[in-house]
Amino acid sequence: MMHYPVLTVLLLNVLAMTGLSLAMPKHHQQLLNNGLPSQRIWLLRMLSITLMLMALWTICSSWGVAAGIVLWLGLLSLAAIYSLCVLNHQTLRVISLMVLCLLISLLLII
Amino acid sequence: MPATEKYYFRQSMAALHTWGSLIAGWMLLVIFVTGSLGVFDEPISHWMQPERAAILATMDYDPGSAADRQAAVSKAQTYLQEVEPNGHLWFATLPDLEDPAIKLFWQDADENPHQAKLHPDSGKLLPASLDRDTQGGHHFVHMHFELHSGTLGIWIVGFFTLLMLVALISGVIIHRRIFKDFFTFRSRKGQRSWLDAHNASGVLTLPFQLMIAFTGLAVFVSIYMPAAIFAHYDSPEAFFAEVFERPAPREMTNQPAPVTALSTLFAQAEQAIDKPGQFIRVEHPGDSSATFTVFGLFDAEALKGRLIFPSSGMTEFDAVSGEQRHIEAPGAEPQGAAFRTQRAMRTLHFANFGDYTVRWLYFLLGITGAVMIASGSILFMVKRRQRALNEFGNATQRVYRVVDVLNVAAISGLLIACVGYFWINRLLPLEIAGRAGWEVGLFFAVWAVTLLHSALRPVMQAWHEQLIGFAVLCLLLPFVNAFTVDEHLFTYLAERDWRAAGVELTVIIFGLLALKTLQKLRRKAVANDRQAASVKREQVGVRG
Repeated sequence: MMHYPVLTVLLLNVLAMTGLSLAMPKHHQQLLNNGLPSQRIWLLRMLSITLMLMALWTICSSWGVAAGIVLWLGLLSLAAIYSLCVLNHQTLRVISLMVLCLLISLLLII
Repeated sequence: MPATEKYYFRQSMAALHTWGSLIAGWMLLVIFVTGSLGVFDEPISHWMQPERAAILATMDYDPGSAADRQAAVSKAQTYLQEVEPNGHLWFATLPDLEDPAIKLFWQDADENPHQAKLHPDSGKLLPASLDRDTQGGHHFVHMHFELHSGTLGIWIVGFFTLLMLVALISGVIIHRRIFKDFFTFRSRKGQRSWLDAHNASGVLTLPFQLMIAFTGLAVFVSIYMPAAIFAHYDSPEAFFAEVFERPAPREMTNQPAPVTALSTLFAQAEQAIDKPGQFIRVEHPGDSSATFTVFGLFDAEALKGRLIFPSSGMTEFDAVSGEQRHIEAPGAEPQGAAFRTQRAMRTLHFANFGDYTVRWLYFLLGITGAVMIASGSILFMVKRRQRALNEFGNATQRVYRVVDVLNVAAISGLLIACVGYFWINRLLPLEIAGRAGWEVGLFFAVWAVTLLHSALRPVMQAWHEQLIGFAVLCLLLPFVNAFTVDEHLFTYLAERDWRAAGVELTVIIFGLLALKTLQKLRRKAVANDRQAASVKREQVGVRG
């Protein structure tokens, strides 16, 4: 049951990219205001890479390997830009939460 | 590499990146902005042709009926036979549910191009009131790959695309902290913020930017690298006939011979490829060497995720005797590794291997590429406005002024010209002869005015005024649309016309973004004024 594989992949990539940014002490501090033990760095990295690979598998199984990889890289870029904006922009966090709520509620109606 | 050598390598790469990109930046902005808009070629053309709906609502023509299609072929032949019986080429596209006209394109004996549109039922020329003569979204596509100047334009775009690849690679070499600064953006820090924006937009979308620049060159490989073709073939046509596995074009015999009834051959062709035909072509009509080709319906839906498109099917006849010369079954894939690779790259560049998802992705990443180029060009001057580097001795300030003027015209001026093109489409009277050409001409005229404006005003004022102009043009476009053709966002939504609604919404969003940028500029200007005032007060205080 997967009607919107591109959306799924985008969301997985956002999670992965945000995870990777949180695995960096500078951004961890910026967002969560606490230190980052080295085990957590590796945990976050592994988790993010797993999510990324899940996204890659999802898109390739729906679009084929060649087009899948191109789309995956493109969506990864968009996800990274989004993570960067959210890290550095307070209001954007609230706005994106609102958009996400709207999107989910609309998808559930349809 | 020894440390000093490494240092000089980096320095030379930095110089290459700075100066190479400065020179290439203005042209690359044109290529990126118009390329990103060109992704939405079809929806923009749809928005720009509101009169099509009137024909669609009243026509009897049914694209699904074989008899109607044959009748359309006859109408095309009758018209062309009358206006250009001995032309170099006839080409016609049959009506569909997006564009209901029979679209004709032909070349006279001297290969000058002509075009016309016929009503699908009457076969008569469409009156101006039913046919808004416009290039629509194709204008942006043509700007993107040939700057409206043919082969010369393709070469210019290719040269700057090569500089783009140089800039991307030298940029990666001189960026010391790609991974450390991967997610870094420090806002409100002047030069630092511009550098962060330039780095982030470049690094985060690097795979796309490399892909799009490289595949862009690969699309025109036979133009950019023709030596292999000239060494092995008598003419480029012979080369293409071989790679496409189609019969080579026949030489003219200069013996007059009439073209046979094409609709009968068209019906045979549809049977041979077992699907509807969409395009027809006659080469050298009126000559005994004439050939007639029917191309099958292009089915974009079936191609999702495929990078190498199979043939839509084609059949070729002798246009005089009606003898069948060649059949290419639909579904046949091109052969040969090199040719297949080139085809795949072409599909990747054209973003037509999927639906609107792919197009939106390309649009957003393309715009990010434009942001990367624009922020780089702006950064060049932000850095030097704080401290002139005197690269050109006495002429330095004059060179900086030229860079400033071109930056404004290439960034905000281009944006104004692009949204201006939408205004021109609505405001230019329908009856003007050569209207489509006028639209493009006025696009360049608006752009030239922005260049003049930027040359006459101090740089910050120029930015400010042009951004206001852009925001106003974007935000008022829906009103112009409503007043001129009585269509607007709500009618589009009510009719579930997502393409037109999408075009209008996107323009509005760009207008809002311009307002946001203006607000930032104003805040910055106020902060600068305050700082200048306090410095002045301090100086006065010290003296007092």
